[in-house]
Amino acid sequence: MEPGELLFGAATDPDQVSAALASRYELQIEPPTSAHWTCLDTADWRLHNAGMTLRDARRGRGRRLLLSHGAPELLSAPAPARHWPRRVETLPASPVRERIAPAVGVRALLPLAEVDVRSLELRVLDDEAKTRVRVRVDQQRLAGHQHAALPLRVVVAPLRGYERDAQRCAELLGATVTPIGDTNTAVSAAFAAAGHTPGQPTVPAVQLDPGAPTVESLAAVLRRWIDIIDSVRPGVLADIDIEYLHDMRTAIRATRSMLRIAGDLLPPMHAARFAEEFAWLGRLTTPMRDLDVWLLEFAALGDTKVGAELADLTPLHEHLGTQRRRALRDLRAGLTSPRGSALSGEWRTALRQIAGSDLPGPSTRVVAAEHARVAYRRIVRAAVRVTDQTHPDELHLLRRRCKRMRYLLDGYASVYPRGPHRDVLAALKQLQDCLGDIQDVDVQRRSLAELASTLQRRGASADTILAIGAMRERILQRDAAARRTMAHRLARFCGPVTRDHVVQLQAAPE
Amino acid sequence: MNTVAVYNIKGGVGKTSTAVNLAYLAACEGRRTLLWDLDPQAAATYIFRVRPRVKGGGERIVRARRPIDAAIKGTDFDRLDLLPADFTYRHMDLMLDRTKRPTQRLHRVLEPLSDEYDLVILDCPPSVSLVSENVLRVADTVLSPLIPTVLSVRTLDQLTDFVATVKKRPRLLGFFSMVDRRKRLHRDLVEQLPAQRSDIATAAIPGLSLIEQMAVQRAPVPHYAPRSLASRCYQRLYVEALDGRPRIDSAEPGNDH
Repeated sequence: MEPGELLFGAATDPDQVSAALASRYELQIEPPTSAHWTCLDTADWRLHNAGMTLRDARRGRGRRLLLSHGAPELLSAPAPARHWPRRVETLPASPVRERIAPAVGVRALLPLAEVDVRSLELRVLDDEAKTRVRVRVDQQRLAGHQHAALPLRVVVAPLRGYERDAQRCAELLGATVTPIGDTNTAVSAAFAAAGHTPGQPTVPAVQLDPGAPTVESLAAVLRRWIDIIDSVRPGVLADIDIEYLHDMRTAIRATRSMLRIAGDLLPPMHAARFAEEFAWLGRLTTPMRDLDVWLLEFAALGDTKVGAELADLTPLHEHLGTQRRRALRDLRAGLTSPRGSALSGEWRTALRQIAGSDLPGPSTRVVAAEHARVAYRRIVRAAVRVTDQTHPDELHLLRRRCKRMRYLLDGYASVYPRGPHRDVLAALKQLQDCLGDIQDVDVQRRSLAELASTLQRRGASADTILAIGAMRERILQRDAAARRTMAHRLARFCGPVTRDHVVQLQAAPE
Repeated sequence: MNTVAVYNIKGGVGKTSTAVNLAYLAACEGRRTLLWDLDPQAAATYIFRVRPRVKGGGERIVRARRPIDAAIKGTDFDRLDLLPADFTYRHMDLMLDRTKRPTQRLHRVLEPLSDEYDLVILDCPPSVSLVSENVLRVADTVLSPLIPTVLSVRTLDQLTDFVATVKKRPRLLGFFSMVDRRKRLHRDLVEQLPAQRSDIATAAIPGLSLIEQMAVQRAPVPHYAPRSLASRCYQRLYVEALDGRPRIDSAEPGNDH
């Protein structure tokens, strides 16, 4: 709940609120006003998960961004002139931006619910006719075709130094008009009415029956990943933020990985054809993602010594920007091509056929545990050869094995016992982060050399080439740090504790 | 945090009305503003309808026995808070005298509020005392209302000398107040002196009954008469003295909820 916020049923009459207060206090009732709220959050509910609510509140000609963040007071700032969605760095500098930026990160703020509000402000006065408490009564309706009535929102706001008066008013209202007995905010109620589930992923995790035939479960897991691909596709095409593409690539890789691990359970024609199709889709997305990672690297340079040389890196930044625009154009062309457009429908048809086929075989639990055991063993075998001098290509192979195991643990999460699954996943994630850093460094190191020679050919200044050199130095430092951490994480993952947890994955889920 | 003292050795020159109206205009512009009514007569406190009482009296504030923020009261206007007057402030000189470094006490009292407010306006009592010495040390700007008479202008010179005794000198800006355009001397001084002296503002406040109405309306002039001559004059003074932006509209600060 926002500070001082009370929610009452949608059918509650605002007059009930004023009558309850007038029974004990002198009230001044201001003329009603209208407002429109655009309720904002990221696609993966980062503000909600951080305990914040953000609204773009339009009242008359004025627009303010209002942030509730668990403190007694709202933070407010001028709203940006342009419409949503917007990335946080494009908002005007303000305390609101400063507060939300760490939570929102690279994601864009999306308009997830539009609310029309008719507000009544009541002032609770003392015997000097001084306002001690402001009570705002908001009658809310979801805007647009749904037009659903939302809970009556009452905000009891004390003036500084009169907090006890506000508490008494809130208690009086709570006792005479029954509030809704949950912890939802008005914003989360608006999200729910608009068809969202705050805090939950757009595509929920799949609940598998451990005793069900493996093919049926495999089809359900694969269907969830194509659901994710389809749900993020509009965000990728509109280039809303870089995480849409990241999520798409994760789902593509997971699909490909599962086809490789469990493809023998599928009709051979399907497995081979769609393995090729998803490989194509993965390749289509790679250039754009690589450039996104590069530009993220640039954004992270701000606070570093190299950041001071950012002006010298401007030609490189511009070059990457041009390449990204081209990559986006190619990606859009591929996704909207007949091949790109047809893939989802054809894959879903195939999955329906697979799920409906009556193939005999072991239960999902047995197969999932066996796959996890094999995947783990393959990682351990590869890890034996790893030293701090191992070539990045070899580490890349190890990373791919880790990813395969990760997709298994994600896909079949509901059939594994919770405790061992959580522990194995935690150790695996740590190892993956480390290997990911090493591989990112390797890719960037190689492409930085290419970029430097390209820019040199185009007549870039010596300062620019030197700044690229400094950037390369910084990247190599990350590699050294990641390699130092890797040995420890590999030891943990390959050690007896994690090994025991992998064995325990065969047990039935609680 | 910018600290502005509205101060003059003489009483009845429009200090309180200036402090109240400038504080209101600053809050309208979006500045988080605190008005401290240091005058035991409590006129600013009365205008904002707040009880002229501070728990524990001035002694507790001056000796920092109680955090100052516990004494602050919200006014009816967003972003504008008041530290009310208390009748014990009449002994503030004595209270200050009993503290260590008595001329820096108000500075230390206000220091914890520096993140919370953009602007602090001190409505000072008319006197030359330890309180005024404190005020000069804590203020970035001292605004001094002057009735357009020769003697009043002489008072500004005395004040200039007084300010010169402070190590970190505040900016001193006089402005004409209670101007009666029917009087030739008033007209002459208001037209000539600001051109000759950089320490006198060109903005001047007329002597209008609408301003006297503040004690009846118990509100700042721009609140109950936003388009009046008096409001426009205070707006000009605000822009000139406090680097304020001219108001685009007359809308009051609203409740953000």
